[in-house]
Amino acid sequence: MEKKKTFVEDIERSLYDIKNEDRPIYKTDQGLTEEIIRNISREKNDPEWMLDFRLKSLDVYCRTALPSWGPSLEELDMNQIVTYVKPDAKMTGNWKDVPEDIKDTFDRLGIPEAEKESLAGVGAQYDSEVVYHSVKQELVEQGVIYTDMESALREHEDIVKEYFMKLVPPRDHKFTALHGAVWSGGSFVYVPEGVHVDIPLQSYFRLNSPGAGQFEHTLIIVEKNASLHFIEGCSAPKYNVTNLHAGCVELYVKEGARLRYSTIENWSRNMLNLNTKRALVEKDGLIEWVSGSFGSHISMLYPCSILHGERAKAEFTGVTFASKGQTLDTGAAVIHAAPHTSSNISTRSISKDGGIVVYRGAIKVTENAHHAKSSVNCESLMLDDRSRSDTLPVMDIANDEVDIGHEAKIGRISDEAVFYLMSRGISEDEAKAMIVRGFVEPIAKELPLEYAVEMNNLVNIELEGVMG
Amino acid sequence: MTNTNTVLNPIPMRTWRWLGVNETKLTGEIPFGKIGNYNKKVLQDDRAAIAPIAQLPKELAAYAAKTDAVVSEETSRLAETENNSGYYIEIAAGEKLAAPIELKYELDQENPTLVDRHFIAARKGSESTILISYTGDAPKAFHNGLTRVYAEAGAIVHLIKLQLLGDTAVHIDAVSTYAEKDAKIEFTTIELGAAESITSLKTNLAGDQSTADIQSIYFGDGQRKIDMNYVLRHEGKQTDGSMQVHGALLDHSSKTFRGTLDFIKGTKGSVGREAEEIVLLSPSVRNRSVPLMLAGEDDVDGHHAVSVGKMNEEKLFYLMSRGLSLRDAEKLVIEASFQPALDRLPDAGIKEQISEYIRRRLAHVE
Repeated sequence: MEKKKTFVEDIERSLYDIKNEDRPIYKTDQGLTEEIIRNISREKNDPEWMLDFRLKSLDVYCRTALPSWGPSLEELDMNQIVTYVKPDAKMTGNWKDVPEDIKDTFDRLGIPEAEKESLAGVGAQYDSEVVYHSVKQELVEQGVIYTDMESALREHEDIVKEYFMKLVPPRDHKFTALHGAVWSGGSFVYVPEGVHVDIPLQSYFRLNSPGAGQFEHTLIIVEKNASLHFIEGCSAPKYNVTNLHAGCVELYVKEGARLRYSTIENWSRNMLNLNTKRALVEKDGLIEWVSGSFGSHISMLYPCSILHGERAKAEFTGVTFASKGQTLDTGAAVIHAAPHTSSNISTRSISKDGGIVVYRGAIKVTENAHHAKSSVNCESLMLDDRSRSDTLPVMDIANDEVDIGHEAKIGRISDEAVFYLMSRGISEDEAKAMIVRGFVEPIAKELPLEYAVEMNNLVNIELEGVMG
Repeated sequence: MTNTNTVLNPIPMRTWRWLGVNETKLTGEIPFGKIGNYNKKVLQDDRAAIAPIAQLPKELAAYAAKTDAVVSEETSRLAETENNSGYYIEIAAGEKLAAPIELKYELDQENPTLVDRHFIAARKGSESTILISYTGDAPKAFHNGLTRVYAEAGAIVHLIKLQLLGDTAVHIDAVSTYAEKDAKIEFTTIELGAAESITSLKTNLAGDQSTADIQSIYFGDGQRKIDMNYVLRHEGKQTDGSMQVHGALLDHSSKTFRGTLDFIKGTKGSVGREAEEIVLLSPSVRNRSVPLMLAGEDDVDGHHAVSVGKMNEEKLFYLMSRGLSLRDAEKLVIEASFQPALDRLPDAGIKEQISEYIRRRLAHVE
């Protein structure tokens, strides 16, 4: 008898698919030339060194080949991408001043609501520029800086110059070079020594313009013994042309500091999401990544933690859900570069309806990093035989005082588990739903409440047929 | 043909270049076009079922084509066209060999170069064990081998490869196997010698209910470089594959193990298991482990695990409570972890010889 499949619904996308009229105040031509870079730089009033930085990055971009691994990026034609779209809105700290249609979009996504209820600060980027930024007064009084990157470049130029693209240099790969050339927008956070930001800050990135790219830069510095939770959300309406996201996130976690970086990525299915995220963690510091990847046509995203100081720690918790037409190549990398460092990676992947998920990871332990500990656990659930799920972890160990473990599983919903639950009086539909919910539970419980609710929409299970 | 750029052991799915695991290259030379003779006695008995490889029946070409994917096209071509030894071994349908077939290669001063090619055809329902060993301490010895195993329906074939070459030798060895319905491939490798050892195994579980059982041990010391590329491909329905690898590294040795479980769409009800356990005993070793799991089928049960560095503390504690030092306890645990592979050797003499060899090598660990 043919086995019937559990039907897991796609994510409800209508909320994200609302399109506004594309009415930028300034927009570069399509493509990438020195002239376009100069225009962006002029439009943004860059200091001279930043213009130089952009031009050097462009040079690196032109000389760097596409990656020789991972999903094919053939469809990307940079000559068709508009790299800078300045919305018809000035950066403001007052929600009332945000233009009506842009405000509506963020209202529908629940951004200002969340600010009122559970956030210490909010930033909202629309296309290439940040249109709104605010932070609670008591944090300002403690010396916390939370602002858009452009303001940071003007008001805290020394800090930006010291840290900007030092951790993720343009030479890293083709898309970091691209980012260095055309970056615009993003958030800057500075938490002074010993300050604990108890409630999260959140930046939301929205790409409205068709055929455009978004290249926001997020730079976070958490000083000694300070702590922060930062949330990043991304979405865009669906267009028939390719949009490109090549953001860059640089996180500096100083001695004894803690940073939790949570992301829910829900780009539309025409997006190439080629994002680079990296954290440098000093002695006794902790970086925690919580990452949900649901959207985009192709994603290549592997947050990397460099454990640079003794006893530095990294935790990564991720869920990836690929459906029809999606190739989500995600994972995590940790470089243990100091003694007694530890890392913990836990991921869950689901693929359905022809979706492709790849877990790609790396654990590297350098010669001096004795007593490094790492534990990696990847589980993949396939919901049909049209989908794919691949796991490709690498461990590279260069000393003998280590404790490294890796484990991965691939499979589908187990008949035994369903039978067991049914024997306890639970219907088959509910049993399967429970199993899928249980599968993503370790991730869901790490998410802020509103995102956990959003993720539960995923696990709307309908069932057809009977057990096979 | 140039030497230095020959890409060996390419990974089935590429990843970041900075990890250096996508392929390997040989430091030494591949002597293309310069292969001398190998004149030593190889076969340990005269059985009708064994013939020189040149007598491989033409109709088996189709079988050979099914046993693909090896260390590299170049090294395979070298084995196909410039071999100086090799045998065609046919186990007749239903025949159950009581004693193993042994092929012994010893690379000495007069015979420092070996390029061998073998084809083992295990006919329907047959049972056999074939042991091929490579020993000898000729300086700068070179070995390049290609062994194909075709198991017809219901056949059970156990191939053992034992490598104990000298410390300056180059050892390149590719094994490719194919299992029809209900066939079982057992494969045991014992990699203990050579300066550079580059080996590959491709197992194709093509027939329904076919099984593969792979046990492999390696031991790296001195400056030894070990590179392994094992692929277990599940194609038929309800296939069962297992890959168990144990290794120990000390001194300045380095090792890369790529182990792939590949579930092809349609391989319903299949189970694949892969585990690698590595013990590291010196601060300047280098270990790379790449367990891949590829799935185009949901109705499978795949699992892989890698554990590096840490030994089972309970075992160590127990042994130490009986009076052993930590190092001695560790050595004993390593020997024990090698035992499942060593137990599959057909000859108690060889088993003892290898155990002794490992004990000797471990002796200088402080």
